[in-house]
Amino acid sequence: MELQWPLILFTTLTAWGCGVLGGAGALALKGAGKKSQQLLAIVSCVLLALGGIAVFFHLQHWERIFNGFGHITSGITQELIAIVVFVAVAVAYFVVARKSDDGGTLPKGMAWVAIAISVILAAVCAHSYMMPARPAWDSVLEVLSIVGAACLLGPATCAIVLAAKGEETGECGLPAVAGSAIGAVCTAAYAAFVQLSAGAFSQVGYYFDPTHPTKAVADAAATVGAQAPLLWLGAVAVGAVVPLVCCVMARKKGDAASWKLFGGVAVVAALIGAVCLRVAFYNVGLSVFMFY
Amino acid sequence: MGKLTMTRRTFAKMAAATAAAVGVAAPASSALAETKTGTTGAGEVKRIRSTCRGCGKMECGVWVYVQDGKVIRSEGDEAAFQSMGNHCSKGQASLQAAYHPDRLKYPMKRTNPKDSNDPGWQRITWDEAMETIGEKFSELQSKYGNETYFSMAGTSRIWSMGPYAALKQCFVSPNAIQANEICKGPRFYATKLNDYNAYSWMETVGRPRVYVQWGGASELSNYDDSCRTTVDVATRADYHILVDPRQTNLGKEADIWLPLRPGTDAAMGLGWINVVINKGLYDDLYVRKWMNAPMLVVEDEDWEPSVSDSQSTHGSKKNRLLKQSDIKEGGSNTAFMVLNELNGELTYYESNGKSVASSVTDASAADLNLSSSSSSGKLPHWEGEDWKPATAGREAQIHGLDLTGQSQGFVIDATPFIDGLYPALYTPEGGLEVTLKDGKKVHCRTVWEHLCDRVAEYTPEKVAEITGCKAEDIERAATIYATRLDPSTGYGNGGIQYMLPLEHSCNSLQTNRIMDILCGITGNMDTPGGMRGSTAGWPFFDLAMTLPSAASVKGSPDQSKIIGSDKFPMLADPKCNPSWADATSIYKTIETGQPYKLSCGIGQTGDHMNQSNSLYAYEQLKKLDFWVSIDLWETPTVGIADIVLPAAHWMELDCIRKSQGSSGSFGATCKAVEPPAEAEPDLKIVMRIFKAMGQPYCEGSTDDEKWPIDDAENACNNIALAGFRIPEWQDYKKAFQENGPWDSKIEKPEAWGTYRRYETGWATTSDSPAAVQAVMDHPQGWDTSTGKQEIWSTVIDNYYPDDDQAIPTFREAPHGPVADPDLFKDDNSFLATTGRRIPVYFHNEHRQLPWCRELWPVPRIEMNPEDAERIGVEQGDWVWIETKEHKIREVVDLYHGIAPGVVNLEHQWWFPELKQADKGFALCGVNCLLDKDAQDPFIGTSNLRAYGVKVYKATAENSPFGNPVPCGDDGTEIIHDSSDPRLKAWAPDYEGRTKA
Amino acid sequence: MSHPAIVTDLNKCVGCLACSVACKAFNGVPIGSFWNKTLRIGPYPTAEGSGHFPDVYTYFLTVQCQHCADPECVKVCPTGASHIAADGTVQIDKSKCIGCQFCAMSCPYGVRYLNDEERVVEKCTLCEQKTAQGELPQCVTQCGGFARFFGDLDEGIESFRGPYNKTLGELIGEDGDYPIKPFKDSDVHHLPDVGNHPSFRYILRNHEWKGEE
Repeated sequence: MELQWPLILFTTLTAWGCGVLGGAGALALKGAGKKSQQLLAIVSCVLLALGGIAVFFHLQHWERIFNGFGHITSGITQELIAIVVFVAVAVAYFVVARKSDDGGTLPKGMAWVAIAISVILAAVCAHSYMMPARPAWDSVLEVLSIVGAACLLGPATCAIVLAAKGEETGECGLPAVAGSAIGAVCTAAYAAFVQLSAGAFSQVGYYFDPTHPTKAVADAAATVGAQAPLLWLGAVAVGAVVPLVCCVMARKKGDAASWKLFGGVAVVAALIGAVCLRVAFYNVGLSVFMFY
Repeated sequence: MGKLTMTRRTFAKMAAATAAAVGVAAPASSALAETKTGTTGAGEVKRIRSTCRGCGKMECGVWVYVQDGKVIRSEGDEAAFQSMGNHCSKGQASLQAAYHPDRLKYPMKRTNPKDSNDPGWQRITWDEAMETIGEKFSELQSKYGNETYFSMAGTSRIWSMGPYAALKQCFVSPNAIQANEICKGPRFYATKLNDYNAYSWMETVGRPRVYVQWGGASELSNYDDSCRTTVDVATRADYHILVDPRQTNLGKEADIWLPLRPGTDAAMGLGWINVVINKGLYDDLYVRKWMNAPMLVVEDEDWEPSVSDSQSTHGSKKNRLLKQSDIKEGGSNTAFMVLNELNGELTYYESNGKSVASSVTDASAADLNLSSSSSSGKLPHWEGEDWKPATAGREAQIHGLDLTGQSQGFVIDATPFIDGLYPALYTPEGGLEVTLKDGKKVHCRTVWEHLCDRVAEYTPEKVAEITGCKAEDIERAATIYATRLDPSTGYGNGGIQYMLPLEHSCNSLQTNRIMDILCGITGNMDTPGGMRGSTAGWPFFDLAMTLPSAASVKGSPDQSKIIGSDKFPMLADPKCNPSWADATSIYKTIETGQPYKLSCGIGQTGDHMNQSNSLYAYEQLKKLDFWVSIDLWETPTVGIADIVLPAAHWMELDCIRKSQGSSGSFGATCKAVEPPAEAEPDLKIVMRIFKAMGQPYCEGSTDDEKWPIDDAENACNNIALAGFRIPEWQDYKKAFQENGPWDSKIEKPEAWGTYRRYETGWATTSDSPAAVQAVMDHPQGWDTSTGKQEIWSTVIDNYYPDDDQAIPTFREAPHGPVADPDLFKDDNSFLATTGRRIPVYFHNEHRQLPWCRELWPVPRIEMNPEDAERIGVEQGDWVWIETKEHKIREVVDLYHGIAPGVVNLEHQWWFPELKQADKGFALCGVNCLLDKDAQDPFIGTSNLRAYGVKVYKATAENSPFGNPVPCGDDGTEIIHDSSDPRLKAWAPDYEGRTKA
Repeated sequence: MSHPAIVTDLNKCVGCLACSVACKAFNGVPIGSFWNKTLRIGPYPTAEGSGHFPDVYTYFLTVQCQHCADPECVKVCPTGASHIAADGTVQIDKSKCIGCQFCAMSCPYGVRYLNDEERVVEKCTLCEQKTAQGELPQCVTQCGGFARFFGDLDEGIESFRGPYNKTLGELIGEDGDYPIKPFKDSDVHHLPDVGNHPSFRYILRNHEWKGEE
């Protein structure tokens, strides 16, 4: 299907926001990044808000959203609920941090709640796209790919914030490396799933749609095959391997300057990768009966 | 004016018009019996019963819904048995034509030269238009002669068909380029030679038990028959046979498909005849009694063919058939000799009688004196026969009429010969020796033996070789067709629905004669589901012809002066001519000025794209001193006009309608809305032109009587209804609103409700005016020299005595793979066919209707995927299609239903979206590829199919503007997808109809 | 709950496109958008044939909202705009639609689109304004091939009605008195079902149905 840029941005920004709050929670578990915790909560909400602005451009009747909204089986409803909970958690996280003596200490419970809601929101957003009608989307690996994006983007972003704040960045290494490793695995797994999805589409052989005579025949295998560069070069190599290597390098060096540099590269690469993955995602978003 | 007088005059004029499809139009007030059907939101919705004219022919019954004075939609009318409630896509899109923002609404004159991209149209008044027309044509005709004028006819998208008859009379010129030259005309003319004009129509609604679709797809065209009827007939039939180079939309369901090489239909037809004769499946009695099969052909080459002075349409013709006058002093030259099988003696069939229908159709008999036609003497007869119309018979046994409720009709039993007579089909070995009146002995063989000789070459194996079909399939198809499924009905399995492709490969006349003979020998002439000709009904003649009821005050057109007759002498035959001047000869005459100058003319929805080479045609038309177009749109041909006159759409006028084909109904098209601004029904426009030229249209002394322009539709409809039990148009319209169309079988039991009318004397007289029918003679048999269905054509024999063409034969298309193998040498060579039916278009029409164009945005070339792979093209690619004349582009459609090596092109595309006078017709117009000189040798029909082309991918490098998509002169792409926003700009304009 | 649907006799459908224009004329569907489309499937080489021309077959597949029994579009709609109406059809309450288009994504057949002017999603309504009054959908009454019939799937497709107000069952028979030829259960197909249970049915005799069911 056509690229849905508002949704691509929304999903990417949401994953990023989730990653940041989740990353903050991970640092909080180790009592790290105390000067940055409040800021990270804010950053996560800002990213989410940017996502909200992006999605504004997708919805055609934003004003009607409160007019009968709330059909619970709808992924969008679930997303909205998760976002509300996420924001509530982020606010609570911020308040708790602010009220702590050093302005950055969080109880372990709060940290775990932050991690949990981050994973949940990323997963819920991704889950909206799990549709039987779109075989290349209809996998738990698609969900994990968004969670993975959060893992790739979040801890690295946290490390940059910590470095920028002049904080000790030593504790950033593990979450960032682990996160990017998880992200890389998830991204690669979903990329592999997409590449193998060609057989799941209905095939009718030769056909013709009178309304688009100059279009080529819809060909799932070709479409899926054509995504290989976006998936493997864009999403996996640039979007996952580069961040992973950067995080490993930064962790080795451990200093703030390294995190600024490598963390920055990691985040930019992960963003590029996330966008590549979403572009490929829409490109392969053919319906099972793809001929109409 | 008295009704009878008017009718007789009209009749005579009509006959003069030969047998082109035409009619009478007329609306005036719109006192409609409107049916109220409740309300939907806004204003009240009225529904008006009408008859569609979204295509060039079929009379589908429809309902037009009008709300607040606007047409909001139209639907099929199930009360219309002839169309079964069908209303095709283009018919339903009609309201988008009626309300199209690009409709012509005012008379206009051009202000820029003809080579300008913009004609610079300037609005003028009707008065100015008519004054200019009167002056210019009069000036040019006085300078160069009457024949300097020619008309150009389309298929009456608007209403009238002036160029086929009325305008010839108005301008006293026989010259007209007519669309029927390449569509139906050859079939009509073939049957005119063989039996009676237009018996190429099959009674599809008679539901033949074996349905043969030969080169046609009325399920898509919806003209000739509606889609719903066609599919119904095919589904109910025991067998469905498709003869077509490509798998057609309904043909996918055929029981037998003969996928012949384009252009080889004649060979296939001869092959079927071979099978039918060899298996003894022919209708022996019909062949002997109603075909000229037993008549004797003088074999001796030194024998000079003798004349027969037939009263029939054929007139006096020299031919090789043995006549009584050849063997006996004072013998009749219209008594054709046969050998009586019972006694071995010669006997005859006298084909002239005291009066025959055709004698009153003589154009010169404008003042028909009915009483004088009843002279003494006998009607046509066999020697010793005192012929009386047959009466014994029984009700037809057509299946599946329950849904439509149409009547069965009465089938006359086939009558035997009189006692002691049984004409022989075969002569003794070496031929029958006959002594002529001068004592000379000659040898004769029957026409049937000549046919046997001809088809002997066309064994199934040989035909398989020619056509590419399998011999066993050919034999099986012919056998199934000719073997009666239910002999108890006493009639055959049905006719053959043979269509346009048979007219397009330079063998048009003979191929269609073969089909007519095939239907004849299998006993399927005028039987249920057989070949029945044009429906007898009201009006007595076809559809809305513009038929002046007053005689010309400037004389009659001189047929002998018709352009093209030097090459095609039959065009100039005084009575038995096809009615057109061939298009190529007209265009060449414009170029050369020989034999005289053509300087001016009128096109009534005529276009230059349908025959001959379109580019050549356009260049020549530009050279004319004065050209007038009557149309709905600024078409490419309108683009070279000096004056354009705006015509009304079918939803905007009143007109009686009768089945042009054999569907057997008549009803009406009823005005649903006023024409926009100054547009007018073209019947009225033609009447205005008569006035401008000083030719009376109706009889009378005052101008208002001669040219009742404001009452044109009403007046003409009343003429058409003369003799019907509801003679007044307004009453008729009311009855139609209430009851729907009439069943001609019931309303005209003798003329239409009876089958085998050659047994009753009505086969050739059924379409005469009712008042004339009542007093005229009804002779048995057919309207030919021999009075029989002519296997041996006396007319062709007359014109081509040395060419062995009296029995039709097969001829390879001149630029096909056999006749022109050089065109087929490389990987990119293909044999091209074209003309397949596009459901949303009628030929080149409706390109600007959004509901049509969005479903069929561009012309496509069907290609077998194996070929596409070889030449490196894929679905949706633009490709160049090239001949030595020109190259065009179309979009590849991968189609396994066409043979490798053959491509199917779409025809006559032009692009209303382009802002240029020629509307880009040369970008994709298939007839730009044609060799204009490749024509049928007898009647000049263009070679539209079965020629070699080169096909290769269009790329940025080899395309103008670096764009494989065809573009206008300013680089604007044509519309090529349903998403193009320009389509939305063509939505109905409900506001812009009032005069500004 | 009833399951209103259309059954199309594909052996009688000839791709005449009358249904497409009928829908446009009756429902005011925007130019360039479609509530129904007729796809050409094939021509494809037949299973028992040579694998080449002329042993090929084509059918025309009329595709529109399948008014599924278990519609994904209804599940994913956040506002309840897409809903199963009382008559069992799937409908869109345009006043509730926020234009998120998730329904369009969730439809296996791609038959939903965003109306650019109203900025809400639209699709075939099965002419609810007609069927509510006991009439037939416009694409059924105007079907050129007399190939389409409308009815409640729960009542069996032989109860479906078409032009002339005849039921499919009344019209079935072998000989020439009957315009619908008999078919087997195995000749009745539906579009690929990914759990949505499409209600529409397609009759295709003697030939291979292409694509999954």
